[in-house]
Amino acid sequence: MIPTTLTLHLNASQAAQLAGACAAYRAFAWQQLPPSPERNQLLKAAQAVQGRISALPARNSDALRLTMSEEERQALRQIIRALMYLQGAAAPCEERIHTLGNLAGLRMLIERAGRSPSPPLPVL
Amino acid sequence: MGLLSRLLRRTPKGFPQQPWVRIPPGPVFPQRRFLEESAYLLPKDAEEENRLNFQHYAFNLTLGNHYLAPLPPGVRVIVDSGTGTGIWCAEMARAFPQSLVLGFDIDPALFGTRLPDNCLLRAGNILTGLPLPEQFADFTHQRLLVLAIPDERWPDVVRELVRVTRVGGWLELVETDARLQAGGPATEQMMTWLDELRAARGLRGEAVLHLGELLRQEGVSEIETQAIPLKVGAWGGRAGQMMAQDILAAAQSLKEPCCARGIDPQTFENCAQAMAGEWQQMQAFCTVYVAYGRRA
Repeated sequence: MIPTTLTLHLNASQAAQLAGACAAYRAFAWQQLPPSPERNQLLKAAQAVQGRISALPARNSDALRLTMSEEERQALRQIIRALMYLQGAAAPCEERIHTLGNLAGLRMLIERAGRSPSPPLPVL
Repeated sequence: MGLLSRLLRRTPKGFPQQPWVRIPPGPVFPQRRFLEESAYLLPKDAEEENRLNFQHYAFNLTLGNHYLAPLPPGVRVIVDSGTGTGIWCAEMARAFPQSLVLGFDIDPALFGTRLPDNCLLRAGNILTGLPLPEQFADFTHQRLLVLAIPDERWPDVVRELVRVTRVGGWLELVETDARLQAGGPATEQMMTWLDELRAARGLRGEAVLHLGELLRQEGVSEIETQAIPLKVGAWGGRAGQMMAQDILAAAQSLKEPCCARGIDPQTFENCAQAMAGEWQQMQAFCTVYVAYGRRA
């Protein structure tokens, strides 16, 4: 099987939202979820994505590219789903609607992440 | 001279004569090695080495990773202040094989010897300044020095950590206030004894409640802070059991200094045993305070 990386095309606002979602999920997991290998795997994925976003070259640009593995994409899907569930259970207010809208946008973005084959190994 | 006296005086060759009468009235517990001329409260010996390594794994399980800052790929230089046995440095060196990981501790006696090639451990004291140039590290880390850094020195310590971190690099502080909540009367008693020891060295542990503010005061940006509750005891699963063992071992390591202040050793032991039982019943927990951010 050819290993693939996924490329997420996003603007600066979406990058900030995704970083914020990762940070929010990590805070939630540390506070509410008992330690387990599954929890820790999601925490690590969120941390890695957050770190890669922080390293994006021009964070005010509208054409940012974020690469991730399929495992990380799956982790992000779970994270966004968990955050939407949490927001959905919150009391109705303007902010909640706004946050849910942002999360739904991120979910679509992650679903649409384009597959691209990994760069070929250099010939020695 | 009676028969009994003569028999007692006839000892086999190679055995010391009447050894039982020559044992001096020594300490009632084995003596631990403590650092002199340092505020550090805990011992520095083989037992403590085991505890620190065990604690490292307990924290890794509980927090989910060896570090919490969202590090970008390609981190080159990692510095750890107060590295203890150096186990954190060794793990980070394996996780970041392209990087150089430097660990500093006031006492090199506990440094591990089986280290990856990209991991170096050196003597260095954050309270007097790390032997590093300015803006040296991409990631500077310090963990669990609440019983080593007097409260009033925390601003200096954070300033020094910022100094050795390059602009745009990350800093991370991970601490506990070394207190148990919801522990019960025996736990409260133990905490009171330990508080007396801590107060005598200015190690009240209040500064660790404001790690984010300390970073902010030194111009660090993108700061995130967390107060993570850790269940202690069997009710917290495997991680909780590991934390309980770690805390019990830490309390035991402070038995000598406590008893030197007049606490009866047996009373201390009884208290230690009772508090372990309380944690399950009362659902005790402690809190880990985390702050990380980037040097602006």
